[in-house]
Amino acid sequence: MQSSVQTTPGLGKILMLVLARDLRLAVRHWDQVLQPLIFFVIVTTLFPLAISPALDELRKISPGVLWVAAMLASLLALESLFRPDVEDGTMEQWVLSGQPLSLLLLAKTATHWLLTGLPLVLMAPIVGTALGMPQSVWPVLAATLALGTGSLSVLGAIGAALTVSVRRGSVLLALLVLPLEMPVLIFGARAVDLAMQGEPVAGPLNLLAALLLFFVSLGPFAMAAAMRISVES
Amino acid sequence: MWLWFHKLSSPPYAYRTAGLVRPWLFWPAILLMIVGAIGGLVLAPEDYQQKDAFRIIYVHVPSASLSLMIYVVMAVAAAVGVIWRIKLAHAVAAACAPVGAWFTVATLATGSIYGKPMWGTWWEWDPRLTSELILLFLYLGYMALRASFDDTQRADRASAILAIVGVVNVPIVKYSVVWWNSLHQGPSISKLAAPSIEGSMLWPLLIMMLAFILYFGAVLCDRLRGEILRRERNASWLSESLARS
Amino acid sequence: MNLRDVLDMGDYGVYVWSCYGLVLAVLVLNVWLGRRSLAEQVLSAQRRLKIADSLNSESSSSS
Repeated sequence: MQSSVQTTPGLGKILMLVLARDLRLAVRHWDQVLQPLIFFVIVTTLFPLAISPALDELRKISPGVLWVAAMLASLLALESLFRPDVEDGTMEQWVLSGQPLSLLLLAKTATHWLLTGLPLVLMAPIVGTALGMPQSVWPVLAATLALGTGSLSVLGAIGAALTVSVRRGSVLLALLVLPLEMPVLIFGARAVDLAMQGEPVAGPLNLLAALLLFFVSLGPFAMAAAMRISVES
Repeated sequence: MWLWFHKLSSPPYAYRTAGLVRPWLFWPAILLMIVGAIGGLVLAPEDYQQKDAFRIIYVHVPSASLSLMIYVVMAVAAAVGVIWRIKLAHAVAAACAPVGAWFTVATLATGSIYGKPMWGTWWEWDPRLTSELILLFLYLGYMALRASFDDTQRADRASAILAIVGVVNVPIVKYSVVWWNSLHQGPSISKLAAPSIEGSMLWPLLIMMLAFILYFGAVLCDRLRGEILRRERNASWLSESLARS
Repeated sequence: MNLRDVLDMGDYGVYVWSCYGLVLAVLVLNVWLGRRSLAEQVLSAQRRLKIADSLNSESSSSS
């Protein structure tokens, strides 16, 4: 009699599978992936309309505008981070699977960043130019957004895990997550501002990096604890 | 000592103890507040720069300190509840939240009123007021999350995670806000920093602080007892205790 | 310091007294809210116990 030996794949393999699965799903529903990015551009456009078409005035507020729009876009993208998996029962499987839930959720958060944060990093310079932002500032802009959106994804994922089982929880998600993200906003937006004034930016950049490391290392545990509570019936 | 702690974590014992302790916290608090208010309003000499307006600190600073202190107590209680699965700790956390939020509101309001004669505006984005505002958001988020769960146990645990994440973020928020503010006006102190305080001005402040802390203890006793009753729906000890009270 | 001085607070009277009044209002409110929530819970618990008692006596009298 032949018995097919099924070995459970190692943890690294599982995380790769999670990433691959999410990315495949994203490619299939690329229109959903695009929506937060379009939102980003629309929100950015609101400011010239609301304030002034004069590039001089817009230039002054451009770091803040870009950063706020990025925060909001990242927030919107969180809606679809966990909800589909919770609704179709996949998350329950994960919770029961015995695999470290924190790492599985971190893998999902990484895809969220790849699909939202990374495109924002790439789009920001172009949109910034439309607000009068000088090209010289692009590297700092990209760096702050790359580090910052990572933190935004992690903090957002914690909030998403807490609210995933709450009906119509999207506003609650925003209320919980935005205050926690305020330090990231401060360091990120002000760093770009400092760069525009020719001041050194090492301080806030280091702080952004430190925050990212801090959130990435501890955040997944909060995510997992929150998910367990949300998923149990 | 540990035995007493263990006893304290039993709801009926805590219910009774809170009821007995409450007057011993409340009345001294009232007394101290009267003493502190008289000291602050009348006895303390007027400040060189801020004249009599500085007397606002005798209510503003204790409110601010308590708003932060209560958040920490809330987060620690929540953490204890989640780590050691002590239901009573969750009840303490739930009881803390509204009181802490109100202290934050009081801090913001008195800070704003204090600001008008001092800076000429009703609001300034200075480090203390800004971080109090963010603290208020954290409190409101905590209470909103609690309210969104029907099941008390899930509400307890979910909000505990939020409280822990929040309290860890508080120093980060404070540091970032101070840094953000310093960019604008150079390394100067918060515009609302109490004037350099000397002995004759200090003692009413300390008395008010103590008074507010005792007051919080008293209100916590009441709210905790309410929370205990809410959670111990079908416990047998209820009929005895309630018949007594 | 006479009463006039205390009330005026050197032209800052409005500010100082509204702050103290505000904080007093918050303190009173919180005591009242705390007492009220406790009273509500006591009432609701007593009601539940009465219902449970009457159910028990019903079942014991019918058995």
